Amino acid sequence: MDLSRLEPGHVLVDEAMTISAAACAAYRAAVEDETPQHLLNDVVPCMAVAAKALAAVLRAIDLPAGTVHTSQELEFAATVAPGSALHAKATIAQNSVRRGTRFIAVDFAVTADGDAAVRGRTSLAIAEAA
Amino acid sequence: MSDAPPRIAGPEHRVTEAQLRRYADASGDRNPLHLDPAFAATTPYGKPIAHGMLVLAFLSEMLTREFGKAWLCGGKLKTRFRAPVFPGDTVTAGGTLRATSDGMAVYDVAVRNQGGAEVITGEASIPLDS
Repeated sequence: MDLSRLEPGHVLVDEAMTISAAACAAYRAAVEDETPQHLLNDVVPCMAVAAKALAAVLRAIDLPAGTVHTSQELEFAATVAPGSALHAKATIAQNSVRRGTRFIAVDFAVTADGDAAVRGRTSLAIAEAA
Repeated sequence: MSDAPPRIAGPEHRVTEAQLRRYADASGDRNPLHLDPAFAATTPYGKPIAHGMLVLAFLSEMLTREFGKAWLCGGKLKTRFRAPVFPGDTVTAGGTLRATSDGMAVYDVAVRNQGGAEVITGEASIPLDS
């Protein structure tokens, strides 16, 4: 993908997704989440929802290996139950080059069963080919 | 949440190569910067680094344990990734109350490595009970 052609407003992701109970458990195991169960009873960790959306962004944008995540903003509006019907939409917010490094910011929002759940902005730095 | 504690702290997490593989499987983020020592050796880091979203999950875990639903349904996070986390590092999340205003408690938050260096910094906002 020619990253220079990604204009602000370009839609990267507009897709349905879900996080099953098994996927939720795998995520919690991976991050060694020891949150007491009563706080996450039938709730997907909010960061798992954000990670799912970000993974869709990474698939869509086909970033070069070595891309570095520089900053992350997140807002959590509602909890998500495993198996909920999620919908993620992500758009290019910024795309610029400074001193040989491309900086891309992506805004994303996830709804669960039609209601706002998580939104955020991911900023990435990509070394430009010499 | 009606009271905002002045300081919060999360559990220690020792990051391992196996954890990076589990996180890649769970999240779908298979950037070789995190998984492939040969590739990582060609980057300025010299060896694989942890996914930023994995380390950020430790911060969210702390906030979930401390604030529960107030974090999961109204929390906001703005963070910068300041330094890489390598397999073998032990990291700990923490936060200090900066202000309470407009119905929100605002914390300066950070994740620090075993040497005390900040690897993530930022602010977290959590809604207070009215």
